[in-house]
Amino acid sequence: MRLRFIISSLCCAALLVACQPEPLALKLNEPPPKLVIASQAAPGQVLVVTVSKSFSALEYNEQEVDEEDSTNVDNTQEINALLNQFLVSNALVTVTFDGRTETLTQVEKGIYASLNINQNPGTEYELRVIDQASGLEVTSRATFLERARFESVEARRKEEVGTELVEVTYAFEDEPGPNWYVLTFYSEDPEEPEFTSLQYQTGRTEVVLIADNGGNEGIISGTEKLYQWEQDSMAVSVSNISQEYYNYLQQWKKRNNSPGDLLSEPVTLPTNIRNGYGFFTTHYPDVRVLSLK
Amino acid sequence: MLLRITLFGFFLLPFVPVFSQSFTVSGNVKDGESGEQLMLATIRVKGTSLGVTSNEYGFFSLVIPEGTLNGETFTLEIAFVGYEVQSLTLPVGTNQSLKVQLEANVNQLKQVEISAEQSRQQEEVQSTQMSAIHLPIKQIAYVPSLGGETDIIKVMQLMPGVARGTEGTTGMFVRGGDADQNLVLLDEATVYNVGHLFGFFSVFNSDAIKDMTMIKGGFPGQYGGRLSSILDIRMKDGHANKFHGSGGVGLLSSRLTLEGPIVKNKASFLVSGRRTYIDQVFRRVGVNIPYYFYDLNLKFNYSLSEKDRFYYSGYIGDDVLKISEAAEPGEEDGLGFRFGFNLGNKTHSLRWNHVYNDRLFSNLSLITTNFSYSINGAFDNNNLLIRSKIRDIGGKMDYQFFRNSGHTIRFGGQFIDHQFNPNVVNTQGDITEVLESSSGRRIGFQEMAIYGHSDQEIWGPNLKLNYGLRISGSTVNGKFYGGIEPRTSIRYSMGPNRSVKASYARMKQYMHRVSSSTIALPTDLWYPVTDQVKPQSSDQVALGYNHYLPKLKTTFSIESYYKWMNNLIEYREGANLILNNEFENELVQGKGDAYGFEFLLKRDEGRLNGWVGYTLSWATRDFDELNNGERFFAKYDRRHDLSIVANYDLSKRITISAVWVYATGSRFTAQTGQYLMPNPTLTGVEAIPIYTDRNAVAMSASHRLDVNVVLKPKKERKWHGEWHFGCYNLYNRATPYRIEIVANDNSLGYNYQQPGLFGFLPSIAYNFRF
Repeated sequence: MRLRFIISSLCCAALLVACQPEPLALKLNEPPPKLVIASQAAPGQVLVVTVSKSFSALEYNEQEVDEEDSTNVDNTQEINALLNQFLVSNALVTVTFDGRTETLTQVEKGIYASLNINQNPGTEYELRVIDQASGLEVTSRATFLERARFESVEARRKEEVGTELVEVTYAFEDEPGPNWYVLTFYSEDPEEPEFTSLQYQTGRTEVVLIADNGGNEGIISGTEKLYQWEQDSMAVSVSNISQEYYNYLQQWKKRNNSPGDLLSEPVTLPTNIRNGYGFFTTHYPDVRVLSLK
Repeated sequence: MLLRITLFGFFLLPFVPVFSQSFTVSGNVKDGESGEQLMLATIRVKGTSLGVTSNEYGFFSLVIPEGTLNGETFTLEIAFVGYEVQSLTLPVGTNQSLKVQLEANVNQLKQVEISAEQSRQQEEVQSTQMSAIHLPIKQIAYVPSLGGETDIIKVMQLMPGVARGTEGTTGMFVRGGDADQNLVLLDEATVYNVGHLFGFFSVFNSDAIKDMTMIKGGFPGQYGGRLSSILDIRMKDGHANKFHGSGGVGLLSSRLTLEGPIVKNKASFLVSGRRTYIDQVFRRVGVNIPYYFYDLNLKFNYSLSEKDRFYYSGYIGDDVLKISEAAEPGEEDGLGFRFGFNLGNKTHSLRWNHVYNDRLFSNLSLITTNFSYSINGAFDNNNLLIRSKIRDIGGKMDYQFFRNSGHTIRFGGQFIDHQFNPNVVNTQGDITEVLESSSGRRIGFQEMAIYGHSDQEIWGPNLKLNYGLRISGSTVNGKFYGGIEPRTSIRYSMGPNRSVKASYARMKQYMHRVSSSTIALPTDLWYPVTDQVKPQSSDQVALGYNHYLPKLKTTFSIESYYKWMNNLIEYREGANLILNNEFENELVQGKGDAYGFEFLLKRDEGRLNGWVGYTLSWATRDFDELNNGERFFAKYDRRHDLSIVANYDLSKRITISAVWVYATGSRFTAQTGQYLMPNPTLTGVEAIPIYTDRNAVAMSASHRLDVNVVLKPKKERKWHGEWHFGCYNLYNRATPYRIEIVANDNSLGYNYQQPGLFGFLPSIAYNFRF
């Protein structure tokens, strides 16, 4: 008994005396800034391109902010402040297709748009962006693919206590040959007004990637199970995307599901922007809103 | 016909003993008190260059050509470090079978005229084996370590050519290889998981261990199956004459070893156990840490006759975590919460030594190994059990033929049947919706090999050549992989104390550990090759110079090596390998190169002893699917690695030991930039990190000082107790294990930091023997 007490006391004393060493500082060379491109096509020959710049890893730390602030509001505000700082204004943004070049107009700081971008399947686009202040220039290419459209899509809540399981059954047209698709499921955010674009933009989302090797004879169908889906409605979209963008989305999903840098190598997102970052795409989805009531 | 007879005779020639022109002195070398077989004892004919060393079972055979000795008698000297040299006068021309029992040299400070250490060092210099480190356990008993726990793996990490992984862990990265490229054997049985507590403590209880040998290159033919190293650990046999005990009480664990004769000088046993009680200690202060680990080693040996001896060795070890919380009052179901895991090894080996005659010795080993982990949990109405297992059953047969003092032939074969049963999942309740039950992917895989090599002097004693071949193969799911592994080494002697050596070895590896993490996880699994995953292979050349300085009792060696590796395994970025039966989709294969220089200055005897080891090395990787196809550094490519280990007998009662290590930091893929990008669902904006090339950044170099002071009793009594007062990381400097971006303390913005795991950590231990 006495021996156990002595041993326990010694152990506790040693552990109290033990110190955590001071971390060592490190200086790393920061990469030079590059232009960052994102794009979104929309019905009506609309193409929107955002232009920003990359910055140092020491400017902002998403994880640190998340740990310090329990609300997303402060995090969003910080990102917005950074966006404002790094969005590029007065850039020359052009898209060349079908033998002509269209210059996009700046609508907001860092956001450029045009209403004259032909959206014929098979059209090839070349994007060129020049930041006139810094001289940075990037280029990229993309092809407008035949739009995917739902043949049918329906959602059904399964009566299983505790799972909040929703099954979504879908079918959409498939083009001949190998194709790549993305299905996105959006839940409504009950705190946002009904029937507004924000309603489905701030809730939960699920992304499903489908690679078709060309053997589906015109229709791709399937069922997706979504657990813990508490909301009474959802929006579902399908897009026909390029193989490059499919690979980008695969890496994006891996990054979000990564177990962390102690347990795996960090995930680098690919890019189709020459001399820059981001991704240039020209697809837009087919969207359906479904009620689960 | 004549040609056939000639060829047949030529091939048989090495096996024809030259009876009419020589005589043989053979036998066993043992510790005179305990009866332990002594491996690598030197047996020499005084005044000549004739000599051999005892094998791993203490057996030796020295063939003396008649005519080399004048007179009717000669003197045979048998020496081993820490023992008095024994001189025997024997008649010339008569075959002798000896049972040599050496007495321990209790007065370590006494100068001996004929140094056992000198004999051993000269044998090491004159041997064709290079790139090898042999460490009797007595040499490391006082080396300071984390938490005061003597750890043989951590001591090996202080040797040149052996790079450390994360601070405090048991990962070994030998000559640019990966952590799963080391074959660890405990009395011939493979040990898959060598670490407790996520690899922070090795599974080997030093009280049960006799010695260990690490081979990093110039691999002899009897070893194979891993690319980078063989760590051959031998357990003690058990005291043959008297009942003895030893043990220790430390901060983290206690251990007790009991050994003694079952039948004096004929059969003996050894039982050694160790358990950590960190859970018990914290419970006293009201903190519940329901984790512990234990090890149990068993050894029995029995001499049936002078020619036959049997050994049984067993090991059981486990990491256990058990969390159990009672249900809250009013809680539905009232079942509470329960979670636990078990992770452990079991090995059994049964060996039979047989001496056919004074020149032919054999060992037959039958071995089983079981490695398993299980994770279990229960909450609400859910139950979860995840299990993975590896089971090996195999046998090895090894022969040693001592043709003459300058020529030994070794040959044999082995077969192992592996059964893998990974990721068996049983779930009940709502959790089945998220994690379905699965029987896993059962895989049967067989590994086999035959080998033969000859170690002989050519054109006189100055030049000795070891040449041989190992032919290995594996079968899995009807697919066969095989290969030829040439092995050769050559020694040119520049006198009794100097030599130059060179070697070439090809190695093949048919299984690999699925893990992409920095630390060892319970869920790390071993898998065999498949249709898609090809065997790894390596070709290594080495060149070295060895010099023993008898006046300083010090050995100096310098070696350079180059290793080419093929079909190495890495994982795609972001690969999540936990419970992933489809991990092959995440796996990529490529090439690697490693080269460098190793320096070792070592002194094993005298008041001041220890070693200085330095390695200058490079290790790179080439994978088409990683790092945009460009070459990158291996994670543990540490350019400089320096270890200084010193033991000093201040007096008969006090020994001071110190270890100072310096190493270039391990490599990291660091985030250096970022950009903002709308997420693909257009529901927000994300900060996307920009990283360097893979492993492009070396963390800061680390250095650390550990010390240990041992206080021995005033008088040697039946109960011998020693106090060990140690300190890990005396000046509390961080050894970086990762790079973080943290907010500045006093200003806006962030900076890079490299935290360390362990700081200043004192330890106290009481070791005893009786």
